[in-house]
Amino acid sequence: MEIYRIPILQIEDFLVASIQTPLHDAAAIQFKDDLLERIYSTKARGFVLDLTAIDVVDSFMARIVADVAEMAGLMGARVVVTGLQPAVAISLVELGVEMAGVTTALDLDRGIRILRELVAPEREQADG
Amino acid sequence: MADSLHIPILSDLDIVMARVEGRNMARDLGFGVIDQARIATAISELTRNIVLYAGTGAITLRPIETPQRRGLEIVCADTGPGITDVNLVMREGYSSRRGLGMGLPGTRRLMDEFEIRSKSGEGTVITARKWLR
Amino acid sequence: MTAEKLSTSQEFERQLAALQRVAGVFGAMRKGQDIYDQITHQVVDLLNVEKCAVLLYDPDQQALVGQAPAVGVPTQDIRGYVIPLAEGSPARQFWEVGDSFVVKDIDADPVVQALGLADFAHKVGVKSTMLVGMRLEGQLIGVIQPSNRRDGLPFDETDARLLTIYASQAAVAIENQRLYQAITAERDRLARVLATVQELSTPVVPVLEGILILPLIGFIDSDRAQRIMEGLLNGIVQYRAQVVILDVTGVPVVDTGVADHLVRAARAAGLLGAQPILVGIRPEVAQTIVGLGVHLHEIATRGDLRDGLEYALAVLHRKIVTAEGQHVGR
Repeated sequence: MEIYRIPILQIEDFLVASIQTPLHDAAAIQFKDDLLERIYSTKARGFVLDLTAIDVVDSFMARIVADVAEMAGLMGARVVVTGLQPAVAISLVELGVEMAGVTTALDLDRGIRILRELVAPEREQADG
Repeated sequence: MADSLHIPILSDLDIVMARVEGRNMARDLGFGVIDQARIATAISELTRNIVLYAGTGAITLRPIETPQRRGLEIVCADTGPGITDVNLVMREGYSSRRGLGMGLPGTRRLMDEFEIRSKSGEGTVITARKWLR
Repeated sequence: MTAEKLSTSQEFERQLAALQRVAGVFGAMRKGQDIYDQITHQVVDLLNVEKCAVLLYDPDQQALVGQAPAVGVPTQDIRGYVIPLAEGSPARQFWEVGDSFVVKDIDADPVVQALGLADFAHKVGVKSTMLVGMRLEGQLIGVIQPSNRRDGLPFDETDARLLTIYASQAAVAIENQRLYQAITAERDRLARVLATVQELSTPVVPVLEGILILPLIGFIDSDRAQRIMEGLLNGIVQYRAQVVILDVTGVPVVDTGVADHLVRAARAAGLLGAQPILVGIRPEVAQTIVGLGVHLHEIATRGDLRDGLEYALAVLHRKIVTAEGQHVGR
């Protein structure tokens, strides 16, 4: 069965992915694998995961997101999750699901700005 | 009044379908977007528990009505191993696998009414309801 | 017994039987079904007539106006049926003096002619008719008008008396219907006002660029806490806030319930990329919170609004917002 793969774009040395369709578990896991593979092969310093189009995030999805952030961090990339809808945020908080260690921002624009700030000192170090 | 919807839960694909249908029914009943998300999330959690712990089961979504108010009812049933200690799983913070279900106290917070009937070896039936404000 | 006395007692019995029918007829009135529909059908059965209509007095037009639906008269016709009662109208006398008015012959009746209603009567097929007033606390609110007895005879005193008794009940039923509709409309209006007030009572205040203040006042129950959280998150999206100050100075009671809601609202704000700051916790509230074992350690707190704003500005103007500051749930 063909699993719909989520497109991962590259902007400067950041990666950006925007999830547009409801993800079933197998697709979510596939996405996680694809992403870590891309971070590794591009040596990306940062990754923005945009969830604007997602209207339900349950404990499984939240776990995947938190895992992605942690794993990407181990590979040297910062992750920012953007676009969580108020309804989704409320459900997550009431569900009691923690996305500990996950940086969030209102939208893609803010997300990239935050990534630049987070990554900048590291870059300066690398250049200097 | 619309009919009830019965969805067999056999795999993770059915989890997505159940919550999409649940969200649609909630929207048609007049629930706001926040409650739609709560209901869809609760459905997602409950059906995932079926897939994780029982293998297969089914969920029934039903519009409900009393003379005072209208709402939506979710009934999740499986013939899995059942829950030995219902009080334990309903205790805040309980989790059999790190971060992955059961998540029942959290699911209960999303809904207005919540009942579990389960016996070891006999499966589980969870009924949850949310009412329009 | 003399012949006279016999006929009197027979008459009395007949009237008694008729009264019982009226009572029975009224008992059968059903809620929800159109009231004019019920009245006109019941009168048709009661008096054994072909047609019946209800007219209500309209003070603006100073006239009796036909109400739909009527039995034996099409809806568009009954709506155009108007009997003027203004000063100088031939019908005025009836309105002020009489309880019932019988027309034995449409073409011969001077009042019908004077009112110019003969053509209308012919159009809808009325040959003989009677108007009986509906009184409520002495005031005439309208009339019931049956027409064409099925036996072809003109309306008599018995008919008039019977219908007068029925009409007094009908008047009450119509008034009840009006009151019920007025109450329902008022209730709906109040519900809308309440919704607006609730909207207004959970305002978010955008301050400077990227700072949102949520002043909380009064007691917060579960419902209100929900609305507050929704308003807060929508405000964060709308004003693109990066910091939200939750000011609980005006909240008299902060118990575990309220504390839970505050914590959830703060966490949800964090998921939208806005750092929450809690200000205005009074000494007694602080004692309650600690005493209850609730830990607000994941939310930044400051004494009052001014301190909160200072901190907010510091957060905004920091070149790099530290990863710790942005993390949720630590």
